[in-house]
Amino acid sequence: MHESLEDQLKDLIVESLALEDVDPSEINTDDALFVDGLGLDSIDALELALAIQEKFGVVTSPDDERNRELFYSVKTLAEFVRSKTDAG
Amino acid sequence: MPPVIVRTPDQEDAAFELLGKHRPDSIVAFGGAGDRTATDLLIDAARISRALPPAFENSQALLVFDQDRYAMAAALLGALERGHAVALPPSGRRDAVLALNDRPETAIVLHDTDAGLPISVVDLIDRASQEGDDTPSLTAPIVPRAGIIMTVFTSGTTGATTAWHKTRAELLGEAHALGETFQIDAGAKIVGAVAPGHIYGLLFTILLPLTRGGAFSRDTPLHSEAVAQCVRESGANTLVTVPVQLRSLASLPAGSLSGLERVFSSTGPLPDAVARSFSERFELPVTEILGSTETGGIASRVRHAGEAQSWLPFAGVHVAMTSEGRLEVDSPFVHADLPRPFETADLIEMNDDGSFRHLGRSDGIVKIGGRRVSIPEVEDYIRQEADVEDVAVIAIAAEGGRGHQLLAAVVPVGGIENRPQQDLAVLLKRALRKKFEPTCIPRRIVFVEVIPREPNGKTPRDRLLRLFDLQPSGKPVNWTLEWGKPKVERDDERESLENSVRVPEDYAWFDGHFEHFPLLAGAVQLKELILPTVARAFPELGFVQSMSRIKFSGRIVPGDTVIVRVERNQKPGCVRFEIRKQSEICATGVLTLAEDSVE
Repeated sequence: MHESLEDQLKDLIVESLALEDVDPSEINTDDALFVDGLGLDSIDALELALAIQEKFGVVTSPDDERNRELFYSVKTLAEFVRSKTDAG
Repeated sequence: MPPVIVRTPDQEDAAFELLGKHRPDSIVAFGGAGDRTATDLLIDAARISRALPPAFENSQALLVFDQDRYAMAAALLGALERGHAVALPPSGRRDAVLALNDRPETAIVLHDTDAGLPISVVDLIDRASQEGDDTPSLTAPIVPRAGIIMTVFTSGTTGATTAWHKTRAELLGEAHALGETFQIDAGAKIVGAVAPGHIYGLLFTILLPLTRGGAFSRDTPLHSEAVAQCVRESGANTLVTVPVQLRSLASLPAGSLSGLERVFSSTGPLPDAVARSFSERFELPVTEILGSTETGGIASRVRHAGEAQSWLPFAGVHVAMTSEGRLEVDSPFVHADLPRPFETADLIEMNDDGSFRHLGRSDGIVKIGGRRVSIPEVEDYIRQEADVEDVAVIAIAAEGGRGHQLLAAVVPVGGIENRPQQDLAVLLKRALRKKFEPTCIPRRIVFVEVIPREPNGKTPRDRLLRLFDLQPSGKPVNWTLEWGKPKVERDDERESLENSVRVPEDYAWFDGHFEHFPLLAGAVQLKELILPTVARAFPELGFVQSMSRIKFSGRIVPGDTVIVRVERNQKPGCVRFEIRKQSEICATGVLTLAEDSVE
């Protein structure tokens, strides 16, 4: 059985950001990734964007306001990756 | 004692002029909510100035800007015009701003945030413009008063902040000197991808263009696509950025940053791999800047695809190495309250030509994503948590542009057995987030029974690293042997298997046995070399039941390649083993194993 896109993203977040004491299954799909939730920072945002680009071939938006929305949670990220990969 | 730079009065005034090299219709700020000219800036600065309370002794306007660099420039000029110095908080965090707001020196907070505090500069400018406010414009050039014009607050990490007062000569003198060094003039169009509230951002993306006649982007793009779009749409020729962003930019298609002539990077070392991929992709070198809030700019170096070059001090900056190997700086940009020359905590090595190599820091300060973090402060904060008995924090080099990352080893109250560790890790991180920037929070927290300490209380770095399964180099501990191909021989009476195996120099089991004389302990030879070979040769056999005639007669040292041989005759469960290094026998013995393998 294939891992869902959401689970793949959780694995990618933990792996690419070296969050070694976070288990991917502990990340809630709807929770905020940055500051309040998982406590990621702007450096993580750039690292994560790179990792997503390498794994899914999806690049971030030229509009950072939009990027903030896209990177809000695993759910929003998954929707973004789906929209790009389905369209492509 | 190196000479102190002396300028003639005329040169001095020219160096401290803001907007002295712009024509009235020159664009000063572009992008964002629209281009603005020097005239616009002088008008908006006048409007802000008029809205401010009068200056008093040592009064400051606190500047908190993370969105519109033009609004920040107008606030800066308006506050200076009104007679206030300006102050930069250590971060835009609400608690940091409110704490500084309570100080008697703070006359007003000028910001572009959603904080709901007076005065939102963007709202003020918009309202004035809609109402047709005809406040008389300020007159260019603006020459701030001599003496202190800015206070930069740095924190490391906890609420305790340090104030660094910058005089006109330090701050604007440095902007002017940077312009001279890098020939940033009226044609410069600077995209600032670092926040202007950081001294590096302020200097390179506001003060440099304001003193030299250039223009700056109003926005601060973060993601690579956003940076590329900002550069493309504005026709910018200069980018001011940081290592982590350069790494991300290096993934853009070639040509995405065409038009750029110079790229500045600061706040942390640029990894070789990032410098290489960026400069190859865009055929553009990166100019790295070394400096600090207290010393001002110290040196620069240009990074091409090759290895990092040495740092070349800026003109007028004198560097030397102390007998302890520390960097000593004397320059007109060193903070006025500090002794000159000023001894930093940076460790260097001088070259004969006056350039130097930077080797790291000698104190507990590291830079993470451009933010200075005091390891002792993080430790103290964790230690005061009720569930924490003891703690040690270390920094290791991190890949990408982060520079470093923190790791924490924690002894929980009551020992590690009595507490669900994940819960405590979550609690600690949550507590840390109340006080610290996310970058300052340890990325890994491990729980241990005891922190390894020397009699003087110091924590040996290599032993701390081992708690995280890391070698002294920061690389993961190597538990892997390099096995060759097994050779099996069988006849009616006996069956044997021989396997060559290389024991790597950094093999983890070498640690802890006879310091400076590493060798592979007998128990490790049994567990890691012999038993796996037995299992491979005779998978049908079960657990070891007894051992006899065991002898470790030769040393196995880092980098050795040995032959492990196991042999079984007709006696049930009986296996003879031998480890040899060329002709030298290192270990021999006999094992008796259960005849039935247990799954």
